[in-house]
Amino acid sequence: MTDDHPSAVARVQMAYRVRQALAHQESDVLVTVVHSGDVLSGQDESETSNGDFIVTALDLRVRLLLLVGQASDRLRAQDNLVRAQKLLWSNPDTFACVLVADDDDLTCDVVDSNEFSSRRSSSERSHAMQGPLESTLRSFLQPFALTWDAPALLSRNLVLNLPEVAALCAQQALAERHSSRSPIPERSRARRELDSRDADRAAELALRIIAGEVELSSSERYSR
Amino acid sequence: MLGTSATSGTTARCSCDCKCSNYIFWLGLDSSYIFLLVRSAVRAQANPAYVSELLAAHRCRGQRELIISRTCWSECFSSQAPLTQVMPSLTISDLLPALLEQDDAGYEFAVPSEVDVDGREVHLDSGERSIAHVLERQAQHGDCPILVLDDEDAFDALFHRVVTGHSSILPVNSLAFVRKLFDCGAFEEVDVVRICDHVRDDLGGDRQAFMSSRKRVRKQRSLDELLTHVGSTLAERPTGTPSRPALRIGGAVE
Repeated sequence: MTDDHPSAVARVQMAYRVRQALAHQESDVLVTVVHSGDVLSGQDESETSNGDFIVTALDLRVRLLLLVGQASDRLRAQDNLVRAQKLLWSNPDTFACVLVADDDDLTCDVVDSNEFSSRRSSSERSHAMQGPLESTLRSFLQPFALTWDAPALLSRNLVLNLPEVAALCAQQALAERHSSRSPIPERSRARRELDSRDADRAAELALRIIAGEVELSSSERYSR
Repeated sequence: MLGTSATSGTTARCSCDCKCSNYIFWLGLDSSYIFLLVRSAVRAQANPAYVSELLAAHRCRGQRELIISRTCWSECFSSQAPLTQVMPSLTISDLLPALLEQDDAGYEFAVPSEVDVDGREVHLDSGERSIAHVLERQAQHGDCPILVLDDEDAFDALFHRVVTGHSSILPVNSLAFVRKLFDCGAFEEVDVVRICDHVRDDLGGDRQAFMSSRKRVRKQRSLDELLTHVGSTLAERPTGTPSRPALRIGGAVE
């Protein structure tokens, strides 16, 4: 394995670990793999990297660049910073580039777009911007990813009484049938003749369908 | 039967819906792509049966026809550097069951050898022109075939012909198609990794001298994206799925 061309296995394994680490982010954080070409769209012509993963929290977009085969001391290496800078320049929709080293913790370094313009020194950088991928990314995204309290309704212990609901729905359907008009005399008569026994049968059928005892074909579904 | 032999990683997990070729049942293969498959098999020290299985995996369990032009076929077996030089034990009969060879008479007049792609003159070789011509004929019957090739320039030229209305065949790059085969289950991760390792060697080896930097950058990016996709997909599979990197990747082929 060379630095320039790490083996295919090394990249697959690193992508595997990164994806696993990102699986534990907040639920409103989306993770996708970068893909720049397809059969119908042709290939993206730009020569700079678009990164390997895109992490989206609300409308904030962060791209991950995997440094396959490189240790954490290479995170601030000039060539890697240049890659991050190019990535940010060519992807203006991206707020930050996360360089990820190929070590056990997946040590990462968040390079945001302000860094190049403000020329901050490494000592001025926040410690929250460096560290293991999972925790660093979580703390980086925390100000942006909103956490919602569960709705009060969810905390109530609601139990759905299915027989009661089925009977109620059947009665409502019966009333609806009675009130509807039809220009066809036979149909009008049939509707008028519907009574509470039909409603009971409908409720019973609904409960059996829910219990999985009866399965209606699509034609039956419409005819009934 | 796919996937059960000791020489192959290909499995019968193919979803059998031709989704990988956008539901198109005619797939043209350029000789460059067949060379890619054979070279990756050689790199993994596999035997011709593995090459046959790789090709068979493209057929979506027999639903899809793999088309090759007569010129591409002769490039594979009668040229100065045939496939048998790459894999001496390979014979015509190893490839013949999967491939449908078609007459390509008249391709010299039907498909130009030079295509102007946004001011860049791109050369198409005789193999690419002949398979494009064969597929064009297929397209006249109402089908819209896909052509898989392993050359970025040829891809650009043929795609440009589609965009400008001169052709209706859809070119697709080798690695993009391998990705689709992996997604639909026709290829296992080991197959993808072997092909990618071969492409990686090409990028870092002697053959890179013949590649423009533009081609190299695009190839490298496609390669990285494909491998990242494979790793990510494996991580998302439910626990207990047998194909995990630690188990399946990196082992010897035989």
